[in-house]
Amino acid sequence: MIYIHIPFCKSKCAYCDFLSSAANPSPDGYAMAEGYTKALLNELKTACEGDMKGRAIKTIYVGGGTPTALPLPFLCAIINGAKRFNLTNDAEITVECNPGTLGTEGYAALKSVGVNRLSIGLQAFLDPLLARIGRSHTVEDFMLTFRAAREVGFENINVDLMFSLPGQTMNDWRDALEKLVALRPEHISAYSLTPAEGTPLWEGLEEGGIVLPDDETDRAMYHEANRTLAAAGYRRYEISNYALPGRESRHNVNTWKRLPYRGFGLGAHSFELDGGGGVRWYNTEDMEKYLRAQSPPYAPCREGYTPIEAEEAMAEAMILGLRLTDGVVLQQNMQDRYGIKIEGLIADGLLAREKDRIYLTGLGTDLANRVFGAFI
Amino acid sequence: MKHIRNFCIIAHIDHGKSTLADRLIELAGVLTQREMTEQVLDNMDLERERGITIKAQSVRLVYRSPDGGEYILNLIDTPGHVDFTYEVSRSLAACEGALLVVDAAQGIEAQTLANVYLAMDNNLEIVPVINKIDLIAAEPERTKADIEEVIGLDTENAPLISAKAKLNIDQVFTAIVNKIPPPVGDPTGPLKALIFDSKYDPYKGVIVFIRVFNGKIAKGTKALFMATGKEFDIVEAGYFGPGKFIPAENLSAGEVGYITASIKNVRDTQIGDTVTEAARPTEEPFPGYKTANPMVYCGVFPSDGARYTDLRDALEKLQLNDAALHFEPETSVALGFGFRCGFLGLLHLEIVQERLEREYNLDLVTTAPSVIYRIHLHDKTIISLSNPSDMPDPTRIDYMEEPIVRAEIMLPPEFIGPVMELCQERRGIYEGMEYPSENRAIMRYEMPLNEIIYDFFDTLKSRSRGYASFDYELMGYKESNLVKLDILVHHEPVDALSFIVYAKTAAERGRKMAEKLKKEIPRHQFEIPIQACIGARVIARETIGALRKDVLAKCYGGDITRKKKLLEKQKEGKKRMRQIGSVEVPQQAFMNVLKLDEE
Repeated sequence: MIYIHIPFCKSKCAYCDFLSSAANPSPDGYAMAEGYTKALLNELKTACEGDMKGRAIKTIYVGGGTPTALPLPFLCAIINGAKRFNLTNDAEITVECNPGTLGTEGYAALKSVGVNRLSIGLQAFLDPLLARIGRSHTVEDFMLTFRAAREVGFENINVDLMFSLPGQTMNDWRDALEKLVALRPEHISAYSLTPAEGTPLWEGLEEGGIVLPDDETDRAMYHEANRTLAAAGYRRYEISNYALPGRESRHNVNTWKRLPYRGFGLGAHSFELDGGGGVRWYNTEDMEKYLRAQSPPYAPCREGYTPIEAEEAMAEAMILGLRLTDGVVLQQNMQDRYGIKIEGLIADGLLAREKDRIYLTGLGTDLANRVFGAFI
Repeated sequence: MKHIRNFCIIAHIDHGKSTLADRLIELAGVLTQREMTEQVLDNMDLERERGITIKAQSVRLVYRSPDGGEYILNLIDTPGHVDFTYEVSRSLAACEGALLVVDAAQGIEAQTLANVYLAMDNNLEIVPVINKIDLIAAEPERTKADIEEVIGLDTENAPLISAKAKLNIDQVFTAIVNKIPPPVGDPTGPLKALIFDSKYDPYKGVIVFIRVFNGKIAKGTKALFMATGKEFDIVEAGYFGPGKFIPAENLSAGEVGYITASIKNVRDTQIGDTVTEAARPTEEPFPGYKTANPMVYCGVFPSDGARYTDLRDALEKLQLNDAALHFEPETSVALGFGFRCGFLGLLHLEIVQERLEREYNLDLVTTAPSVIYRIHLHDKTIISLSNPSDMPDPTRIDYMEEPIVRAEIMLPPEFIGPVMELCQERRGIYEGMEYPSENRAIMRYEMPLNEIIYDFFDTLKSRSRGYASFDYELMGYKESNLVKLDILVHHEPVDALSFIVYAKTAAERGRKMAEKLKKEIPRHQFEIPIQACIGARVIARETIGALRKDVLAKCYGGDITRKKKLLEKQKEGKKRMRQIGSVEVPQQAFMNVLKLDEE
């Protein structure tokens, strides 16, 4: 699994706490994009010819930021660079995109370099709501983007939607779900908006200018999504992810199954297995440092090396695996270590068990942190 | 002896007492600049941070006057808060004079007045000093007039200074030398010295602070402590250097200093006791001070039950230097093993709690403060009740009494209305009012102490925009209609939240407690009723709805470490919870529910 981070956006959304900055359309911005692309290509090449040489890669995920905020040739070059890994024949290659960033030719170009899955950030199906959360596009922009993607032949598209938005009503949400289902994307991610510290949204909440729907409404919206999407043939396979049969995000499912991945680009995280545990690290979040690291004399830019002991690895396996609707198949060591806790969670109605497999109940999904917390 | 001056400084909190003390030390040249930390006399971090003095400290200064004379100035720093009146009174007796430091912007406050009267009772010469004249808001002439009108002191030659800006400090030295009388006494007579404080040192044992009135004391003196009847061989006698003890050949009549004698227990050195020579005792010992009795009690529990013994050790250590602190073991269903502690007042309580947390690194949960009630049973026995949990069954009680204080509130007249209202809400009985000057009123109220220990200070300050100041003294006990209010969480009584309250206000209190608790306890998977009860009668009820949502919507590759930390933090938070039946109550809740009026 390969993750590639593009830390640029047209503008920054009010709720976003990801590593990204609004790209500058000036020559400086172009030079920055070019410099970044070169650095990224170098990092990919080094790994391709180095410790990743020969390793089978099943998924590539280009995320951000907004990958499509990069000038198209750069984005294509990056994808071509990543394709030099030993990709499996059916490798899933996803690119995140935002409405209004690319036209039909753009999507055609992505298709031609081998991208076979798109993830479009729609977030809300109502212009005033989009404006309120600082999105730079309209519903119309999305419709154009979605049609363009279909036109050039993308058959595997995810659309991101959010609920519990400031001022959003249950009717707004029902309406959004209905309209989206009518478009028949293969995959839908539906998230409850989670305010993160340091974002404009957070500040608005602190100052009282912004009010979010209460927990009761939030859960009603979530349950509404579960019902509507199930009725339309989408299976909820993770807490916030729904797919038509066979269209689950393989990249993300592998993350939840705790398979290793390698991140490239500014601030990208990596995870490798190591014995019974593993090790995590990430690239520097300092752009200058990152760029310097990718040109001679190639200073190191990896930070935060964290070895994961076997015991912690087991906890991670539970926390990640239980996000999946199918849950976790208990190994003997998990049974030995968590048996009593699991019984308690089952008694509380948060977990259910079927032979060796445990999974979140409906209540357990709403209160998943309570379950996860038990394994920490 | 005529070159010795023994004096203390009286001031309200924040009026600049410690800063002035620092200037005097600095200018007398006892310390090099390097040795000067901000406030030399306030030794404890906590004192420095809060800008108040808790323990009396002393220092000996050598002052060379412009005319060439050399004077020994013994400064005995005194605490400035209502809770520590007792510590003030014992320091005063060691002096001949007092500097009265008044903030030129704020004028006299109730506590200043109380301490001035204490000083007058001790026949001290009082030297007014107007401080903070560099402030924009300073009104030195009005402050002088205020002192003349309210206290009746001549302020014509009062030094106008700024301790902070180092303005006119020399005038303070001149005033000390010229106005405060030198001590009188007979160095050849039988030894007579007053113990005004003591301090425990792990190497030297108890260090006893004394003022010698007659005779001499030196290494080798066989000393008799007259009240306790104990005899000790003096190991060391000396002076108070700034922040250190300086041994001397002897201490003689008129001097202030310390003695050590391998004394292991602070209780052997009663403050106010007379030290004399066993072979030639003085015929006139001092009358002795009253011991300071706790007025306010509360339960103090370690948040981590395993640290009970650490808490006990810490309390024992604090007690070595704080004779007013009392404690005994207590067990609570909600909070486990801890101690019932007695304090002089609320500030004393807060200070002890903070010292335990900072200096001994303990996490504490404290329960509602309580006064000592007198319960008269039908069988004629009388119980002193300092813990609501020990309240006997109401059917056994004939009647109850509660402590009453005489409260004195000094304030600008425009706040009389709102403050009167507050005193009435707190069951105060109006006793009278004086207008010692045009812009100052003194109101006197008789008030139950238990109405004061619940955030009275804070409310008083907020209703008078910070202008009112307050002092009180215990008057005695009075019969009162009191009931025990219990709080039930999910039908389980929480002993740590029980308290005794005036019957007529019980319903209101119970309602507020329940409301507050509702905000403090996080939602659980199930509904949690909170009830306030008197006996079996429910007087207020709130319900905490069930938890609906606790889930991280997103978790991808780069998020895992962050999300794990979040879960770990949640778990840490849970550790700080107390289990009451099946409900987890945050430790903060026990303290936060007591702050009733700050909405």
